[in-house]
Amino acid sequence: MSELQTLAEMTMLDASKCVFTPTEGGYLSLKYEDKEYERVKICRALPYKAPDEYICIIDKDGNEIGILRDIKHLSEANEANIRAELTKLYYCPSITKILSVKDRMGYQYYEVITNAGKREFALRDASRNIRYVNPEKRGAVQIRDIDGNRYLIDDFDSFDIQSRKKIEAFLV
Amino acid sequence: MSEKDTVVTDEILCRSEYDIDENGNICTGKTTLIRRNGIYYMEVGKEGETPNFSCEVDSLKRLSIVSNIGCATLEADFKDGPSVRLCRMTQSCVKPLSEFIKVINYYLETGEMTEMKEEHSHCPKCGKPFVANTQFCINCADKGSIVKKFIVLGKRYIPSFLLAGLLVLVCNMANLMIPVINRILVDDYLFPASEGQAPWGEANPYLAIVGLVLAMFAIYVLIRVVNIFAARLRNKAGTSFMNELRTKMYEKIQFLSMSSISRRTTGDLIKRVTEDTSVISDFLKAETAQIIEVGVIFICVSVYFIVTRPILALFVFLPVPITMFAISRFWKFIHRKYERQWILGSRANGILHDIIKGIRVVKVFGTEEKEIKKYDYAAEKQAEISAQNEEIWAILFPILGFVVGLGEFLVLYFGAWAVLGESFVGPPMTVGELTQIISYTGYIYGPLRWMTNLPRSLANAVTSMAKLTEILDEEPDIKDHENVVSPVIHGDIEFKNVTFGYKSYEPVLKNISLKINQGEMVGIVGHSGVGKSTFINLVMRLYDVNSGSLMIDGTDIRDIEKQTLNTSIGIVFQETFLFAGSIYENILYARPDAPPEDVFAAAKIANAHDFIIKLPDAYNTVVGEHGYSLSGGERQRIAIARAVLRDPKILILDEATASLDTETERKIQEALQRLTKGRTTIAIAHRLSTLRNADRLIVLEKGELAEFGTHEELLKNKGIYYNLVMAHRQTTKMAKVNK
Repeated sequence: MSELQTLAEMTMLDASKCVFTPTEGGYLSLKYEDKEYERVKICRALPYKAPDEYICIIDKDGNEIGILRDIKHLSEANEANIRAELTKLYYCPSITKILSVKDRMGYQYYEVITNAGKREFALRDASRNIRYVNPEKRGAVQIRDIDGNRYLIDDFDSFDIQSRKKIEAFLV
Repeated sequence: MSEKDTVVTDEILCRSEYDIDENGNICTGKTTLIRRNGIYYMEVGKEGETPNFSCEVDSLKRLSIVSNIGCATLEADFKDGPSVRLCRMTQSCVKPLSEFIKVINYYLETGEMTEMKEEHSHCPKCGKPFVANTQFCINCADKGSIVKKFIVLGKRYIPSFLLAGLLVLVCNMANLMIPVINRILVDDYLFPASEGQAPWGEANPYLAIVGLVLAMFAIYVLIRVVNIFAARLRNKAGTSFMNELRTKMYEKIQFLSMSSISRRTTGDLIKRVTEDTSVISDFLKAETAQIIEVGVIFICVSVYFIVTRPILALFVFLPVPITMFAISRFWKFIHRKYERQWILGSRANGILHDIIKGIRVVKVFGTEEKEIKKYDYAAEKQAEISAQNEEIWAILFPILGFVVGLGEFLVLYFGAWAVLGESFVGPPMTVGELTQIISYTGYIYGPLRWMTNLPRSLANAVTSMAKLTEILDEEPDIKDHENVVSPVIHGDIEFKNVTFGYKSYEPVLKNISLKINQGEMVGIVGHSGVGKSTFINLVMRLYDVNSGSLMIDGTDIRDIEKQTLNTSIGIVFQETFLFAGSIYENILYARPDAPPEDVFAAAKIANAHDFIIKLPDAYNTVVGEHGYSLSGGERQRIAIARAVLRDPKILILDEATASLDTETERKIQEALQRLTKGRTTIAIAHRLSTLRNADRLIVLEKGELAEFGTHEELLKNKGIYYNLVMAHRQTTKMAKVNK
């Protein structure tokens, strides 16, 4: 732990001491060392750069319990439980094909097929809402619609050409 | 709760939807509120299947929607037993579902069952999403009605445009005569002359030729002159209309409510007032003339061809659909390229803007090289795309021109046949007639190029019209109803069970009840983000409460005329906003008809007069963005002077936490003390020195009223306020204060 981390009183959780269990009500509980937290909230500190690392664990009153360095350090069962919870909290279906893009009155209407089913959504201000997830490492593209839903194109370059042409203009 | 009970039919009271199932797939899920045998139940499940969750509403404590990332969860807290996550939904379902849970939550709080408000986020007719935060569907929006509305708005200018249109019509008819004169010249005079034939019977053919040439010249001149008039008419009308639109938009924006303004960015509003009005004006100035021109030429020339040379007409018009297709594809392609260029350009500009604005940070952190690289990269990309686009344009445009001119070649070829005697295109043609036909063909193909752009410019114009009408049609949700009163305000403020949230399903203030007496100074304390600013926003009536009522002097704030309320409230905020103008004008803003003596008096009370007259231009010093930069303390004192001049009955103070030197702070405190004497003051207190002067203190915690009392009472309570005070180092000072 660096001086800075000590100053910040940051707790890096020891993965071997974490026991994550799903609760009856559909939440996630944590038993760490001898403390029990019946309902924890988790969030990714670096959702784009390192989605499986640096997971912040927060108790139900909003106080941070600690940061988990890497999900993969957990035991199999715990890793599975945390991943299930992350899937519940982060919803971003992958677009497999763009069927149509229509431009109307400053809004764009999309019809797409995702791995979760067919979706229709509207977009505004395309250049701000369609972007490379990691601009230095082009590849994954994220689209945000006007309701706040998010969609992912896993690898833009391997996307089919028809679909690519429709949104190429906005990816710079 | 078993299926057997439904021998009596369930009465469905209201329903809503969710759309993510357990596996993360899109589904159609329903949440339903039913009454069965007199008991209310809530059921959650996929459409067409048995519900996977069902409970008695009375066993619930509260329902809530928790927003996550890209989705949200419906959660239920029970009176007995652990909380449960019921179902998941995409963000699109949040708003409508929140109306559903509102009904149930209201019932749980009050025992009353109300009706659900139908708030859709998608248009019930076509399924497309509504414009954010409105119930306005762009798809179903009647474009015709938008245009009609505009015609009504601009009806004063219609005569000018009609007259201009008429003039253009005349010009074009005249223009069509030129090839005719040309033909007469060639056929009746020049051709026979070249064949050696004596020009038919005229005494002096040269006179006739001169006459014809003069006629052509006259027509040219006429066309130019009339066009100038027509253009002036259009430009004048177009510009006046644009200015009128801008003024109306600006006025409307001033009167819109805060909730409407805050959901839009400043840039968006500015764009509407400046750009969208321009787009419409340009369209009217340029395109309307073109439309008439093209219309006239097309109709007249087509008629001529069809009547005289129907077969040739075929060759003229055959390539038209092909060329139009080619042109429209070209524009679509090039438009996308230009859009990309525009985005890159605006990005590069953004970086530049950032670097220059933050130049101090750059220099202190020593990151000049990094920033230079960043901008270089962005500028290079923009240059690359620009160059590419220019290349494409340079290659494609001439090709396009060629394709467009195809018709003319065909006409020349087949027309030449007719002249030479071959005649499947009809009776033999004279040379003059051929030149006339070629001219007419040129007339048609010219406008064709432009016409394919028409759908786009029309669409842009209608889009701009829609954006303007959206604002112009909006009803401000805070406005005076018919029976408002305008009493003299004394300054008693009472909150009665007030609940409010910027998003109605996420209340910020919950069930606040308290009374502030006239002349009292009340401080609001609480953690950051607890709702202090929201509290004063309600007192200033920037927003209306969701439930409960806010009373001023015993009258509901909604029954008081806004103007009366506004003149009775004065504010001094954290970020002192001074308009571009002189110090004098800024203070005068509070009461434009105040005499200079009052302005100086206000400045003196605010402890500002002394530093103002030390400035070279004294009260005429220009402040604001392009003027003199004042220090934080000086700006605050001018803001206080402004508030003093207003002489308000209710004063709202939102304190600056910026640390000022003790001398300045003392001056400001003094000024504030003079200002708050005898006025009902509500102060968001960050400085304990302000708390010291308050008669009573409001402590907010988690959106609710936690404590309310005098400084001594609250200290005795050893509650939240006590902790806040103890946490501050000046405890000893506080303890000594004798009120």
